Amino acid sequence: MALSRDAYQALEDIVGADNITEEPAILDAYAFQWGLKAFTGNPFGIRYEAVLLPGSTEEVQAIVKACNKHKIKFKALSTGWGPMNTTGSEGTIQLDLRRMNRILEINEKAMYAVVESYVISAQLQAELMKRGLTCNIISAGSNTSALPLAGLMGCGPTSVSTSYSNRNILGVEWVLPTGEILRLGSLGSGAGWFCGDGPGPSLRGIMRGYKVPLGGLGVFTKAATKVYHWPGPEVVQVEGASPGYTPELPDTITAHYITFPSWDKFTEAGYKIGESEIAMACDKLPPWMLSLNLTEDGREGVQLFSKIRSQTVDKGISVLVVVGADSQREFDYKEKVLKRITSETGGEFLPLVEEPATRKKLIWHRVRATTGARETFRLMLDQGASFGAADSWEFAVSEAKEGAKLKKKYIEKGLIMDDGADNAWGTVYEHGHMGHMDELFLTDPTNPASRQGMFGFMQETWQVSLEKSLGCHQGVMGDMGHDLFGPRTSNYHLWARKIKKTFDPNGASESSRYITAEE
Amino acid sequence: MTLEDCREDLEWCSRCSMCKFIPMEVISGYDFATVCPSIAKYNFHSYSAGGKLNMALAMLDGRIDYTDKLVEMIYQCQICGACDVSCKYNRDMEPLEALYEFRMKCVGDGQLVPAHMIVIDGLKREDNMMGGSKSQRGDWAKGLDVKDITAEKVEVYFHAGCRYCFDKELWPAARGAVGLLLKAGVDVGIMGKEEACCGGRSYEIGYQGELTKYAEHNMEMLKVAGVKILVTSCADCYYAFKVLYHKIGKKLDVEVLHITEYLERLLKEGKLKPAKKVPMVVTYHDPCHLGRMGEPWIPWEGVRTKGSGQFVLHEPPKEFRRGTHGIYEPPRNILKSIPGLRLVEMVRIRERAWCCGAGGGVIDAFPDFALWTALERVNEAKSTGAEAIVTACPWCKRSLSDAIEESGDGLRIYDVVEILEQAI
Ligand SMILES: Cc1cc2nc3c(=O)[nH]c(=O)nc-3n(C[C@H](O)[C@H](O)[C@H](O)COP(=O)(O)OP(=O)(O)OC[C@H]3O[C@@H](n4cnc5c(N)ncnc54)[C@H](O)[C@@H]3O)c2cc1C
Ligand code: SF4
Ligand code: SF4
Repeated sequence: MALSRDAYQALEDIVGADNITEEPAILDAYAFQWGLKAFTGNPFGIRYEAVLLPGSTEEVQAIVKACNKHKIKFKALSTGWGPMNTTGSEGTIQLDLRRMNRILEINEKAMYAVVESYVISAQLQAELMKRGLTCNIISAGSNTSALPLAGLMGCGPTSVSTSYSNRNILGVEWVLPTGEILRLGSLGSGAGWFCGDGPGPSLRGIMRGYKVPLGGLGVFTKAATKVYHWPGPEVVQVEGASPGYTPELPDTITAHYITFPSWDKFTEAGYKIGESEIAMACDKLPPWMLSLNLTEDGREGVQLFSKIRSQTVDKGISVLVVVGADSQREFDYKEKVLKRITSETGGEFLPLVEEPATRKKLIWHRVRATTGARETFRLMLDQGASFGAADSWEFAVSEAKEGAKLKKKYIEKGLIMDDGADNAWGTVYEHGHMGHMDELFLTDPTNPASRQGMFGFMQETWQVSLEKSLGCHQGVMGDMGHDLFGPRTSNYHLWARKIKKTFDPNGASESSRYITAEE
Repeated sequence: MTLEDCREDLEWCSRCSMCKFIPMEVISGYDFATVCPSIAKYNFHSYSAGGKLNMALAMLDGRIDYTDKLVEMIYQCQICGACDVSCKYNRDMEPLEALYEFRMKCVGDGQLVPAHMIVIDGLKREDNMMGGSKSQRGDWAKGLDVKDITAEKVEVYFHAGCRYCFDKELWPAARGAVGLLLKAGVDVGIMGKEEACCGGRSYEIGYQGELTKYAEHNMEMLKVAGVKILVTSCADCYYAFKVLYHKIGKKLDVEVLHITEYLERLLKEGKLKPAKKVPMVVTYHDPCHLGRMGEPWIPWEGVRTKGSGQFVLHEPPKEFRRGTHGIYEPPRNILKSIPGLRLVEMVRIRERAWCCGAGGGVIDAFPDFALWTALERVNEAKSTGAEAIVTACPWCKRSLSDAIEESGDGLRIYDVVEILEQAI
């Protein structure tokens, strides 16, 4: 269903001929997403009718209005990593926001940064570090958008000290699905970007809620994100050539990989580390991911995993803790507290990460979030994630426990890759109040049995969550999932649907990955 | 190899966009974080390596057919390999191979870029990529007191390459290189008008048969001449002789050195002594073909097997070329040996260097894009405060010189050889 010539012309008039295309090859490049193959057998989703590259809020607004007028659906993307970027409906146009790539402001005093959609986190963090600041980066990697409204859940390796997107969002400029512009928080009353909740309208929950609306509720054109203190150098000097870089970090930033004898001890340590505010990162980086993180090719990663397995997976549950300080005294204090917590909870430091060069490498990989694709895709596996509710730390851990239990069965049958049934990634954040844990699993996309194993595992995890009231999975997208989880989770789906209807009366913002107005 | 042989990599692109940027670890600010000129200029995802892989898969799956736009997108790319390095920071796959194969498929299917057809016709007729006449190929060396290897035995053969032979403005660097070798007492010779193209550029635009032809021709010439070392001042030629010939099973049995490697050796041996001060602040531009692409070819023949019945492992183990072992230090060491000269680095250096814009046939078919790419580099060079940009390849020098002229500012440009000459 090609766009009518009138509609195309109207869109071209807005962005100019160079910034709109209907070329089939380009449309296919946007229709491709690795994750689709596992579900449909085809990595190409539904083609967009056209792709546009708007360059400003005004252009986005005009496009959205034209979509409403010509009854076209639209969907925005930032860097575009993940199946949620595909459309579920024919007749959709894609707004690739990569020309909207400016850092508009870094306010050192009020500690926020204002970005457009196509500033990647690595760029923002590098600029912030020059000012003694840093930002939250999702663990997918710093190659994703710094806008706190693109990453799905919005937590990452350093969330214990840099919180997560939902909390970090301050002022927002939002092109609603109708084309009106809404400015949220202090921005809405012309008072600048510094606050998400006022003076001015606070629609944080409606705009974003638990997860981002995945393109189904208009376009976020600018947003301010809270930034945090960085105790390291202005520029982390990196020696050598890819992939084996050697970062230079001061001795007042260190890391320990700690294995606790049980889930209970691990939970207790998480609370204590969060509450004591000593950590820059408290990142449940599973041993499998650690092994791939520290090695330069897949084979080496597999070898390292089998080497450290007896010291980690077989002994308990592990976490990576990064500690950073501005002075030696502060550092000594934080280290002392960490050692005390570790000893109280029976934790053991992994010798590999006590080795200075390895430690520095690992710290930089996590703080900059550089290795997301390495830890998941390097061995040509299909990466999936289950669970992942944002709730209390203990709650998050209970999800990981269930995930591990279920996964063992699939590993034993050879359907899911053997990661020791310990591949939940997560973090404690908000000083121990909150936690996130998603169970990553890797399957062989070329093996039908393995694909079936993936579906089976997913299904069982959903079932367990529903039966045991383990909250809404982060991967729940679209009507079917929400209608399943909503009734067990405060009927949120009814509210989400009302929001959708109210904000998008013409159904212009493509929302098959969010929620549609259909009852 | 064919594009179909790349299928697994095409399917397993994770669409992470790493290939659009320098590796995340080395991003040191907002500016100069991107690495792919093609996506940086044209913006649609399809211009990035990942996007081209997606389109290649769509083509193999019969979802799309050739259009002028598709062919243009495939060729609006310098084949500079920066994407390959950034992707392989995390992945064990070969995006650059797929980009080559996509071009070869185009040529095989008769989908040709008019400007390249002219260049290839010229090559077939005159054995050079510059549209020049074969009879004038040796003119650059007129008056140099250097041996002719077709007539005399020598130890070292200096290969000038098509760009040096036919771009008169650049002659001083090629003449300077030979002059330095002679000064150091090297038994060096050239081939004059008998020199032929290395075949590298034609391979890069998809004409693999031409590479084989010139590899065989050059192998034969070198064998007859009995030289032990091949030295070239052209990074493209270096890449062809050292890497591509090996890749297609025509490894030369002479030592292949870039002029900067050889000069560094001569400096170490004390055969050249930079004594004169060259008071200048310079920055160094790594040519793609000398840097990340210049690392040795690592042959691998094997299969992908399943480890633990699940993940993919290469049997026998495959060592990937990730740009780690390119030629980065020799040119820098030469510059550092020069009294009074100060080297300041740009952000995008070594394996993550930004291309000069000329590569992959772009300078021939899309000169505006080549110029745009070079202007980006000139701006980056200026941001370091350097007075001059120094490089080690005639294609880079041509492209960057054009950009400097276009931008109208006072940045100067030299080949490493020209700077060393000033010091000796
Ligand atoms: C290996 C891997 C690890 C991951 N780990 C994490 C993690 O730790 N934490 C986490 O939160 N997520 C994680 N994710 C999911 C992640 O959120 C997505 O991959 C996301 O795509 C990141 O890219 P992005 O920020 O550029 O957003 P995009 O991929 O561009 O967009 C994500 C969604 O938001 C919408 N969108 C983007 N920008 C806008 C905008 N300006 N206005 C309106 N809608 C917009 C898009 O339509 C899309 O539905 C992971 C994914 C992968 C593949
Ligand atoms: S080519 Fe490599 S770096 Fe680029 S998107 Fe694909 S996997 Fe990522
Ligand atoms: S070879 Fe260079 S220009 Fe081509 S896609 Fe890769 S980085 Fe971009």
